[in-house]
Amino acid sequence: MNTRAVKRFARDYTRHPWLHLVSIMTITGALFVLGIFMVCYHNFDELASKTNPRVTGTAYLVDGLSTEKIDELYESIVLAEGVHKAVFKDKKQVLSELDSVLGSASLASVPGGEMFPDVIEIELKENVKPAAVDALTASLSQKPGISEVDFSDGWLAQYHKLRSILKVVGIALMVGMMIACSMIIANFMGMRHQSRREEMDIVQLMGAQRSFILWPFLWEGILEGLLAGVISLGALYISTVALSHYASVQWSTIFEGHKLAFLGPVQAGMLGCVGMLMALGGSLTVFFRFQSQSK
Amino acid sequence: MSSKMVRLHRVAKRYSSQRSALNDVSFDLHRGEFAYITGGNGAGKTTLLKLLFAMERATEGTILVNNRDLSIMPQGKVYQYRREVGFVFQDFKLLPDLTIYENVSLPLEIRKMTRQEVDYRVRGVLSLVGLGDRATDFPLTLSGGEQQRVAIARSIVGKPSLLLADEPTGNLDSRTARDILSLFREIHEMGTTVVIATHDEHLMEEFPARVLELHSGRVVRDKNSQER
Repeated sequence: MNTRAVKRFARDYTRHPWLHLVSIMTITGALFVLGIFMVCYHNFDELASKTNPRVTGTAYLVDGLSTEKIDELYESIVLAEGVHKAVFKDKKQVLSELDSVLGSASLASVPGGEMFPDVIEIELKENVKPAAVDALTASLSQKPGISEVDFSDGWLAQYHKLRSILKVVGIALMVGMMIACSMIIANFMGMRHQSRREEMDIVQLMGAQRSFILWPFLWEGILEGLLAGVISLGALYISTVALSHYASVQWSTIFEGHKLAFLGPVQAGMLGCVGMLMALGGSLTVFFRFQSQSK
Repeated sequence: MSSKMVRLHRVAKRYSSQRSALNDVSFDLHRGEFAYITGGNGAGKTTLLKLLFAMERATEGTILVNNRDLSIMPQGKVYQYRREVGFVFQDFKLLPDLTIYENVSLPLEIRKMTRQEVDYRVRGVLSLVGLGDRATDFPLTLSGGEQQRVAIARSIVGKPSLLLADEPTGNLDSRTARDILSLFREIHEMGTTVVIATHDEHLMEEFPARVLELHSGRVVRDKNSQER
């Protein structure tokens, strides 16, 4: 570790504490906003996986199939790729269930009831992709004895779409925040670095290499970014815990027993790295700007 | 006299077709010599020193310092050359946020010397310039003369073989100016080649040495101290 460079940064910090503080708080604010988004996405993801979004569907059988044929179809469906379980229901069971939903007095009172086919209700495995559902539908539809297959998977496609959109929005937000904050930080650093610019010019006249001038800027970016990352993670954690407690009290019917999850170690590490990159971006922008203006 | 340390041959510096700061300048300086570069405003004194310090490059001619040709020196090597040459500026160029000790130690920090070596050398030169007890003060608390002493200390702490000074007494009163020139003499007596750009005739009379007079970018007089 370049202790001299760190000492020079520390010296500048004690001489311009407020400007350094503003830089750190800017990064902290940006990381906090990003962190909120990450926590929301993380909890959405956790919730989605816990609710086990299973796709269900129905294979409608043609009339007049023998028991052996029905058994054969049932076996082939159970063994098909992606199928978790299947249940055969004859038309009487279907009408009975419909009757209980509609609240009718008897089977005979349901108009057209004799037209209901036998069905095999199918439940797919967890996390099955829409493309796999389409493939299964196509495969089952071609089996003799099955007139129609219907999987109500429109919501699944929407669910995956939403997750993809959230991911893209999250990345775009992160990149946009990084660029914007780097520029803001560069402006704050620029104010502080007018005196540093004079030092750069003078030490160059004394025979300093570029690396001697560059290192304090790098350490400044790394240390300020790390500090901002730690502060923002702490604030995020406190906010998450507080919000979780508030939600479980105020909306106990919805959130009882469920706590908001905080970021995992990898996500927290990513947030810290983003902070460092923002601070480094600001520092290096100032350094190269001054280099181009100096002799 | 010892070997030639600085050799300029037909050096010219032009900034544009209309503006020429130096024209056909040729002279040599021996190792351990003390010389003044004098002339009126715009004579080319500062430009000449900048060329000797590799702050600018000559348009024509060759400049050899310690057998290094500055006119063809790659920009990436200039930092090495500057570690062998000290430069004292008229406006001192001290860093106000650093203490006297930190200002003087900068050249040694750049060379990554050990803490002990830095401390030994810095205290040594501060003592030489008479500011040993002001190490922890900041430049703005010092007088003009004291600030120039600090600048001189910083320029010699790296033990340069050549010391250049651009109007080092320009911002000082006459008494302080004499003290500063005495200091340069002391440094010279320790073996350093010293070149001072100045237009102060009184100082040059009080501390006689070789005088190179410039006028409109040309050497019009090269008078040894013995020639009176």
